[in-house]
Parts: sequence; structure tokens; C-alpha cells
Amino acid sequence: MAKTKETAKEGGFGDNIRMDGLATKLMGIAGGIGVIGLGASFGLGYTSDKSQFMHSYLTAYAWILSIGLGALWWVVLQHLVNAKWSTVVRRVGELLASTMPVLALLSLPIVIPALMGDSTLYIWADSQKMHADHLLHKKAAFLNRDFFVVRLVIYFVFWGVLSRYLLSKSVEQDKTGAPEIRSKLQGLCAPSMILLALTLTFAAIDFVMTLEPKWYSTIFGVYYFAGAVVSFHSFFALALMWLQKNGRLAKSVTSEHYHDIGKMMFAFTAFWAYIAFSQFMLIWYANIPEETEWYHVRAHGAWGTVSYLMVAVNFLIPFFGLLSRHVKRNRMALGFWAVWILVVHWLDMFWLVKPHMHTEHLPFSILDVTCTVGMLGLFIAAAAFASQKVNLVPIKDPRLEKSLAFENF
Amino acid sequence: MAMAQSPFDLAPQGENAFARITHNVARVAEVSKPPRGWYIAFGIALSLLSVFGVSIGWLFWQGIGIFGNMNPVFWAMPIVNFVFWVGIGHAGTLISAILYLLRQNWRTAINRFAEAMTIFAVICAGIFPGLHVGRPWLPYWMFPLPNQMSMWPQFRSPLEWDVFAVGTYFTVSTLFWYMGMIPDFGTFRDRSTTKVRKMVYGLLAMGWRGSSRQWHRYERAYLILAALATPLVLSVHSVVSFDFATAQLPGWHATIFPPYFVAGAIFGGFAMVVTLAVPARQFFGLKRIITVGHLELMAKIILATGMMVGYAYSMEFFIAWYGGNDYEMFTFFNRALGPYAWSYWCMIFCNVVSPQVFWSKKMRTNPWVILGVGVLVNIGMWFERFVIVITSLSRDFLPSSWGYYKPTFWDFSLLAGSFGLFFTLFLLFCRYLPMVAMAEVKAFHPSAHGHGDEHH
Repeated sequence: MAKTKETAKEGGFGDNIRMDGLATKLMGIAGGIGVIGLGASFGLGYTSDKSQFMHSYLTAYAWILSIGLGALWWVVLQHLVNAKWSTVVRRVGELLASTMPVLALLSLPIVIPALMGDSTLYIWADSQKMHADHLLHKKAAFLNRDFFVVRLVIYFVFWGVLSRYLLSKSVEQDKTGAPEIRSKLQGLCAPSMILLALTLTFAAIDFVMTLEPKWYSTIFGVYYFAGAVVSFHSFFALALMWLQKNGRLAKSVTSEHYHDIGKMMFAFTAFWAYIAFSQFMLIWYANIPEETEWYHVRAHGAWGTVSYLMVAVNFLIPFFGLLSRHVKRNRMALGFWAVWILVVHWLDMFWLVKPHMHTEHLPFSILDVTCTVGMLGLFIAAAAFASQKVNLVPIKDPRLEKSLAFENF
Repeated sequence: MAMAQSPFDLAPQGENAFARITHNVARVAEVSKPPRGWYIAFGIALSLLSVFGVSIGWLFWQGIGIFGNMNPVFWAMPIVNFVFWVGIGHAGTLISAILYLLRQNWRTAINRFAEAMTIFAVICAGIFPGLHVGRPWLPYWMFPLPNQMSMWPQFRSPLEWDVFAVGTYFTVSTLFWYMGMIPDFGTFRDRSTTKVRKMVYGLLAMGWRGSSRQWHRYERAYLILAALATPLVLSVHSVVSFDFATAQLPGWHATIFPPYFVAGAIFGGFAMVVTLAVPARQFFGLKRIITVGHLELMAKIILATGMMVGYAYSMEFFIAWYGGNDYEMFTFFNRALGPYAWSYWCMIFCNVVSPQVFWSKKMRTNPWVILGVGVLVNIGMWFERFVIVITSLSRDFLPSSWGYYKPTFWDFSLLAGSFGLFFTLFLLFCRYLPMVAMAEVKAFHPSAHGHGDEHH
């Protein structure tokens, strides 16, 4: 195989691995859509219904954050287990993970109102309401504004520094070819994985679970994680398809890589269902009022319909859809399921967040579209910004040749 | 190499690696006398097995009053032992199914005896529910058999789901194990020097000829079985965790229980694999097949799954505090500071602290350190189930009914006896069956792909 693929020497990679003008173009278009989308959301939100805006914004934010965190987790995992199949596509994952500063900024419209004592989303932001209720009063040690901000700063600094460092070391290897960077990053990623597990869990608790401050579930972090992984892989597959369509990585990324990404989409679709079922079944079976309350809302009326729908669209349909290897190796088919998963994962976030706003009907709004599209635009623009001056492939990674040559059996 | 004198470690002359692998593995079953260590181990195992027999006999004669179970601890050591053994039985299927799907070819050196260990552990586990129900003439009631009394098991009980989950797991892992051995049985048959051996291994090999069509079918079947077995790795211990988590008892009812139990099971299972692998490679001269590299990888898996278990412990503790439920909070403080604190800290030390030595490369490449940690983790995982079952039950909602459970001699003798059954089966397996998947090891041996070509 090494003979057919040119070895990487001073840019002579035998494939187009630079974004060049495409990055600027993408930044312009995606950034433009992002600014318009979010601008429209702010405009609509502050002139009409604040509660609608805040909940739509949080839904979209939980969705986009999960994709970014999924990317960071994936890159850390590849280093940690010294994965070889993924080397050729790892840079794209690193670029998607490097969006952390933008994701931090995007959290401000959630954080600032909470800091100012606005309890539209989080009751605990209002200390008077907290002290009026015995149970909430007991929980004020965790649920208060100051500690919330301290935690968020810790999460975003850690994610930002880690993603930045992983990208810059990998890019450094492109220039120096130093093979010891591989083992150095592997060593770094072991403790990072532990911190990532904890920060991701607590971020999920802080942003989503504390909407209902009396409700709790020990599995909640794992639930959010499962959704993050499945939606990241879907986004990843689409990003690679788009790059290939635009002549980047056209020869390096093969059906074998899509096949493996598809396997992860399939496996984590099942894993998500396993976690979702575990959480639901245990709460339903034990039937303790303070826990079942959360599902009670989601089991009746319009929300009940959504819950039943999710069993089909988040699990049964994509599970059987992704079962065949032919689907995973076919770009059209895999692309279809990737879009499907991103949509249903958004529905999952909607299902987590929105019953807090309306228990009776489904508060769909144009704001859901503008917020989601706006954040997606800025997310893509941030990744495009990071991609400007780097190769799309870690050309001097010692594992690259294996990644280019591997085949599924 | 001090052990090079062992008759089992003598490699045949010449360069042929495949012949060396066959020789090293097949010799264990072919020599007229196994090494002395095997006899000593087998003697101990048999003595423990007779302890098991006597204990079960006394239990059936006398009834379950011989257990230490008391009000309010009605579930005690038999359940602890059941969950402990089912947990041990997870590494085998993880290695043969999930690691296969993840293309972890190093698993070929250890998958065979990890699978054997799985099956024996599930056999040990299966005995305890039968003992615990206290009516040894009625355990068939656990199965949904049509009968004239119209008596059916309680399908809504997770204990009944266990019957199906464990039964399915046992069936599939036995099939997987046996199917994987067929090519190696063929090798044993072809090397047989006596009529009896030829007969027995010939029957077991089911007419295996090693033709390319047979290999093709075999590979397809292996892939399909791996895909079918993968959800089973998660389902069995999830269902076992439901036994506790569906209840309302503080310390039992936590939504994280299913993945937490699965991670713990893999953790404990791998600890048992290294506990068996280190002595086995020493006794039978398999150090060139089960290398230090393999042990190191298993040490890493033990460290990783140990961290997952640590994550679950922390989440439980955090939510007990965050949730604001007085009973939940009491239970967790009671675990750490109450009368059973010794068992809790024993669990934390063995499961969370001891694997941390594997951060050091020097430690995780030392077989004896790995063995030591493996034993500690086995102890810790037994105590984990003890902590869950006993501490939660002994102090529940009503302080007036609190109690302190003490196991009796017979509780311990049944536990020790189950190890006798496990090791007896395992040692017989080592002596008479292909302990390493020879055909699979060869498939990934560098010389199977020509010189210098490293991929796959």
C-alpha cells in the first residue's frame, strides 16, 4: 500500500489536504448564517416571549454542546487507546473539538440571566424562591449562582485548553515529525479522560438536570454522554462527506473509515437506548413520587406522544437502518442516517428541556429553528477558522500508513 | 529465564513458529503427567469442592436456618455470592465478542481460557439462587413450565428476568466457547497417539477438516455469534442490577446501577482472568504465548474499568447528597461511617485505590504485581456486593428494626466451596482442553502475513 500512496514529504501527500480558500468561504457563509440566525433569535426573543426564547436557546445549546463534547471525547479516546484506523480522519475531529471557545461564548445568554437572578430557566437563580422551599433550601449549597459560575469556568477552561493543546501538538508533529508526541499525548489523555467524564457529567447536570431542581438521576451524565457520542459521529460523517465533495481528502478517506464511523453510530444508538431504558424503567418500577414526576410530565398528553415517538425514531428505526454493513459503507445511506440522528438527537434535547416550559403542549417555535441554525453556523465557522492554516491529515503521525491501508473484514 | 527448564517450555527445533505454538499448547494436554503445581492446585480445589458438597448437604438436611440471615437482612451471602460469580463471568464474553468487534487481536492469546472461566463462573453463580430459595426440591419453579397447578413464576419480578438473562448468557457463551474450540479439537485429534484420545477429540471436532470452505463458514459464524453476544455482555449484569435498583430501598435504587454493574463485572472478570493467567502461564510454560504485553493490556483494562466503578461510586454519593433525601444520605454516610464501615473501606481500597498502581509502567508489566492487584480486586468486588446488600438492608427506614448481620460458618463454607467447584473445573479444562486458541493465535502471528508486513 505504501507504494501507491505517496509518502508525506513537504506537502507532497498525494491528496488535497489543505482548506485554503474553502476555509474562508465556509467561515463567511456559516458565520453569516450563524450571526443572522442568532441575531434573529435575540430580536424575536426579546420582543416577544422571553421564556420561549430561553428554552429554545437552551435546547439548541444542549444540542450543539453535545456535538462539541462528543468531538473532544473522541479525540481523547483515539489518543488514549492508540487507535490506528482513525489517524487519517483525526485532524477533522480535532478541528471540531477546537470550537470550545465559541461554545463557551454561546453559553452566555444562559449564564448571564441566571447570574442576574432571572429564574425563567433555573429556579435556583432566584435565592428568595430557593429559601421559600424546604427541599430547595437544603440544596442551595450546590444550586447557587456563584458556584454555578465557578463550575462553568472550570469546565470551559479545561475543555478549551485540552482541545487547543491536542490540536497544536498534532499540528506541531506535522512540522517536526517527532514520534514521541504520540506517546506524550497518550499519557496526557488518560487523566484527561477522567476529568472529561466528570466535567461532561456535571455540565449535563448543571445545564439540563437542574431545570427541575428537585429531580435527580445518577445516570443523567451517562445519558447526555450517549447522545453526545452518537450525534458527534453523525456530524463527523457528514463533515467528511462535505470535505470529500469539495475535493478534500478525496483519496485518503475510504469506505472503510465510513464503515467504522457507522459502526460507532450504530453501537451508540443502541447504547443510548440502553441508558434511556435503564433510567426510565428503574424510575417507573420503583415509582417514588419525586422521581416519577419528571416522567409523569413526559408520559401524558402531547409529551407522551413525543416519548413514544422517541422509542421509534431514536432507537428502533435507526437501529435497523444502520444494521447492514452495506448501509455503513454507502455514503448516501450513511449520510441519510447521520442527518436523521442529528435531528432526533435534537428532539431528545427538546424533550429534556421543553417540558419545563409547558407541560401541556409542545412549545415548538420559529425560535427553535433560528437558535439551532444560528449555533450550528457559528460552530461550523469556528471549526473552519481553526482549519485555515493546518493540514486536514496529521501527515507525520507514525500510525498514518496503517490508517490509510486498513480494511474491515 | 529460570523457568526454561520446565518440560513445557521446550520449543521444538527450527524456525517454524506455527509448529511451536501448536506444540506449546497441545503438550499441556498430551504429556503423561502435568507439572507438580497442577497436582497441588487440583488437590486444594478438590478439598474445597468437598467442602461445598458437605455444606450443601448440611444445608439441605438442616434448612436455611444455618445461614446468618436475620431480620431485617433477609437477603445475604447467597445473593452476594451469586452476583459476585455472575460478575466474574463477564470478561470472557467481553474478550471474545466486544474485543473481537474492536479488532483487538491480542485477545486471541487469552480468549479461550477467559471464556472457560466465564462458563465455570456462571455455573457457580447459578447454584446460589437454587440454594437460597430454601426448597431444594422446587427450583424448577423458577422456570416457566406449564403445569397442572397453573402456577407460574412472577414475570414482573427482576429475579425471574435473571433466570432468562443468566440462562441465555450461559447458553450463548457455551456455544461460543465450543465453536471456537472446534479447529483446535481437530489439531488435538490429529496429534493423538491413543485410540481413546482420537475417539474423544474426533467426536468433539465434529469432522473438522480445515478446508477453506469450513474456515469461511467458521469466520462468518464467529462474527455473527460475536454480534449476538455483545448485547449479552451488557444485559446480564444490567438485569442482575435490576434485582436491587427496582426496589425503593436507599442504596439500591439508583438509575446508574445497570452500567455501573456492567463496568464492575468487567472489572472483576478481568481481575479473575489475570489471577488465573499469571499462574497458568507459569505452570504450563505459555509465557511466549501469553506474554507480559498481554498482561499489561489487561492491567490497563482493569485500571479503566476500575475508574468507571469509581465514577459510579462518586455519582451515587454526590446524588445522595444533592438529592436532599434524608434516607438516601443516611445510607451513604452509614456505609462510610456506620458499623459496616470496615467493609466499605475495604471495597474502596481494593477497587479504587489498588488498581492505581497500574499508572506505572513498571508495575503493570510485573506479572506478580498484576496477580496481587487481581486478587485484591476480586476481594474488593465481593465486598462491593456485600456492602450493597448488607448495609442497605441492615439499617433501613425503621430504626426499631435495625440489626447487625453476621455470617455463619456455613455462609463462609459455601463461598469457599464454590471456589473449589470453580478451580476444579478450571484445572480440568487446563489439563484436557486446548487452553489457548491455537488457530486464532496463528492467524495473527506475524509469520502468517509474510515478513515485515505488519498490518492486521
